[in-house]
Amino acid sequence: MGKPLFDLPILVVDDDAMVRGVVVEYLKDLGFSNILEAKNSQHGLKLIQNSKFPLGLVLSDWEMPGVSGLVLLKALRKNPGRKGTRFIMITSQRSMERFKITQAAQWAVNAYIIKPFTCDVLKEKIWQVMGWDEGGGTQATG
Amino acid sequence: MKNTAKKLSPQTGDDSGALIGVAHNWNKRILVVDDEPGICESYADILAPKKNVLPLRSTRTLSRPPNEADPGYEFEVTICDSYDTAWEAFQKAQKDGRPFAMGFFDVMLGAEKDGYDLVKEMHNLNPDLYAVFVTAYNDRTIESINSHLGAKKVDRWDYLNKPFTQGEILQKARNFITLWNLEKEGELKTAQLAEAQARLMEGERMASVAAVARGVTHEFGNILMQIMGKADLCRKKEPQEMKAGLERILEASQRANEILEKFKNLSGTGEGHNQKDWVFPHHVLDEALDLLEHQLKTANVKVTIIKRDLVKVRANATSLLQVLVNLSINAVHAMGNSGQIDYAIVNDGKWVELRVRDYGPGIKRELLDKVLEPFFTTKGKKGTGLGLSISREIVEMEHRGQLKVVNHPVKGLEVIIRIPVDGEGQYG
Ligand SMILES: Nc1ncnc2c1ncn2[C@@H]1O[C@H](COP(=O)(O)OP(=O)(O)O)[C@@H](O)[C@H]1O
Ligand SMILES: [Mg+2]
Repeated sequence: MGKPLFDLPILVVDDDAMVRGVVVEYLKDLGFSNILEAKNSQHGLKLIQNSKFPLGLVLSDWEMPGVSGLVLLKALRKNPGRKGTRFIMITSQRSMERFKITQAAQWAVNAYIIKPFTCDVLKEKIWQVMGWDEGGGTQATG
Repeated sequence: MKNTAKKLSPQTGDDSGALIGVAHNWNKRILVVDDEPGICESYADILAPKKNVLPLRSTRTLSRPPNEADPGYEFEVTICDSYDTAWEAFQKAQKDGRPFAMGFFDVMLGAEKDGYDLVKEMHNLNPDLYAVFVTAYNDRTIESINSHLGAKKVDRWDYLNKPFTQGEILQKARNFITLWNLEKEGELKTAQLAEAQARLMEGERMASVAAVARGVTHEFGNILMQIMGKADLCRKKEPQEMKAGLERILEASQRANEILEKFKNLSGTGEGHNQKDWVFPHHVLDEALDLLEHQLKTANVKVTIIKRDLVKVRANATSLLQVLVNLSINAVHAMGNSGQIDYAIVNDGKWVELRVRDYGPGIKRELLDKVLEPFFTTKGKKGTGLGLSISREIVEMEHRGQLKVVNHPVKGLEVIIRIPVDGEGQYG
């Protein structure tokens, strides 16, 4: 902890450009600047598997064509180079069926967040999974 | 049929499933009318014997005591000595919802109106009542009784000559009571079957609605995300940027509204449910593809529209939408994780052909007929086995068209639907 917020590398994966755009804008608003965007899950998978890119946090949509959010989560957990990386799953309410939640829990999802959400909710979730105190150990706030 | 349904269904005010599970209660009620006390006694002895002898009043109701050997024929007998008392007893029975199944009618009742008139009146309220005319002499020919009661009632009456024997009376009573009850049982079963079918159809409609709902919810989540996100971010912005954000919000709201309208069409909660209209099939196809967009994308299914003739047909757009959604979902299921669906709309002037072709494994030849049957599924608990049978019902019964399932010569399954342009079709 104590790391400047600006530097926390965050990967945002969503095949819907508008949603991705809003999430990225939220993150910028909160003070993050090291943001990677993946426009589909295949792209996201490559970035997760390639440990060259440091990643502190992944924010990923759950229901995507081809490779689903669960596959990304599994890939992340199987990659020894990504030990400390947190994963927040983004989903629409309807897709929050029980088995999806248990599946995600099995693979140690750190939090999930239901669309639509405000910037404040995103902040709360990030602070929670990163183990930051509200306002403490940080330099920038939203 | 309507009568039985009303009578037998519990008055719960709940229309759905009022009949299913209801058993038919045997009606063993017999009405006897004769103005001679001695004959009334004979009826009582034959139909309800071993009963304490009641003082003869104008109307009395007797039951035959339970008889172990013959439990089916414990009649409930009401004996009346005049036209007026009989009419009163009859009306009360109707009002109580316990109509008579049959009656023995003396013809000459010592009144202005005779037994034929009485039965004619009764048939207005209880058209199924079986009447046996009991007369000392044949005062009317069969033709004249027929013309008096009406040709439609020919199977509702019979006659006996006085003096009658115990056997004759018992035989008529048994036959007609049995007939009445078998009829009512049959009507109830038919009504129950129709109700069960209606429920299943509704179930399948809801299943396709549920399948689409997942996609729609996902899309709605995304749209609301835009709306909420833009609004949240805009709050802190300068007027110029805020204005741009508001434009986005407006666009997103409109998109949400369009999706909702389409979804309403599918679930049958929107307007126009259940009626035929002039419809462009390609509009229905576009709507189906919009609804399925998420499903198709998630399953990596490519869509091509091979031919798209502009033609209007007399059709129920809601039903056709359901057919296209059903067939498309089947195609997605058949192909697993990726594939292609080809759609075609072809007009030959009299018929419009809608084709849905996939690139899955197709159907084994020996199963081609089977798959159209209700409840046939190879998907275990996940399938209802109703998608194709309901689609066929919609095409062939509702639209007087044809639905065929064939294996494509190269690969995959092709479902070919033909609908008459003018709504008349092969039977018109
Ligand atoms: N496009 C298709 N390709 C291969 N088989 C199909 C296709 N469509 C339907 N079937 C077969 O027909 C069966 C019945 O389909 P349907 O009546 O829609 O019920 P369900 O989809 O619930 O099984 C399916 O279980 C499947 O075996
Ligand atoms: Mg089906």
